[in-house]
Amino acid sequence: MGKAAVQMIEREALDLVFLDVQMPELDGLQVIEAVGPAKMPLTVFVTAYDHHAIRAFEANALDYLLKPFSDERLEASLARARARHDEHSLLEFGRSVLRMVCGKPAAGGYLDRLVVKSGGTTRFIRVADIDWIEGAGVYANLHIAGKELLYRAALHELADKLDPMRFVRVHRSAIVNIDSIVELQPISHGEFEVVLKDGHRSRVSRTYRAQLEHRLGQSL
Amino acid sequence: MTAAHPEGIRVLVVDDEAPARQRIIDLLEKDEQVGLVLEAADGKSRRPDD
Repeated sequence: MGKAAVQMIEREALDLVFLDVQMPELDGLQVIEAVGPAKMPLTVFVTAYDHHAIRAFEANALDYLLKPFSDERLEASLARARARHDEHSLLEFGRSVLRMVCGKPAAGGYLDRLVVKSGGTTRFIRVADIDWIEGAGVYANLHIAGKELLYRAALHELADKLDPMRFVRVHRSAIVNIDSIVELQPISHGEFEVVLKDGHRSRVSRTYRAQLEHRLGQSL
Repeated sequence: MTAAHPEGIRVLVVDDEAPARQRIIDLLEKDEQVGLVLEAADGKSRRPDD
């Protein structure tokens, strides 16, 4: 059944898959490995065993249905999938416009959740909730609503995995979420500071000013 | 993730436990936004208006 699932995911233009974790031949997580995480549709894992939860979320699952599930729980899962599908449709529209403007190829497979492990705790961080990211050597310091979390990846590595429609680099050591910017303030010599909703200010270096203007579609 | 499809959401249900699979399919077939439901069990497809 797992092999059949891989073939159907690769053949059909699917938006959503309800995927049993435990199956003969190829289990749900192996199905994702076979297809490739970036090519997977939105995925809701279905299983009778809750110890699969962490691996499911590490595989970027949209939701996790634990058997036996109620009708209400199933409907809630479908509602979440519909909402994400609608959000994705808007993002796809934005990307298609960006491609038309920039002449760049499609850029998909961006992270929408980060798995952050610290002190024996594993947190699942929605990328959309991150206000800004600060480079800290081999780590990236995630700033989320005034709190900080270290993620083990250099800033340039993480930057390549973030949606350029949402995140923009403003400095060699800082990436900001465009939705978190509330003000742009001039400093001097053509340089600006972005002011974020958490009050943080980050200088926009001249090197990255052009990128920000391009993303915003207007001059600063 | 695939691009949005104009005919509605296209869904695949993969579960070797037939009752659980059928419950999910029953719910999907009632949803107006769902345009296609496929089962991995035997490769057959279902549409809400079948």
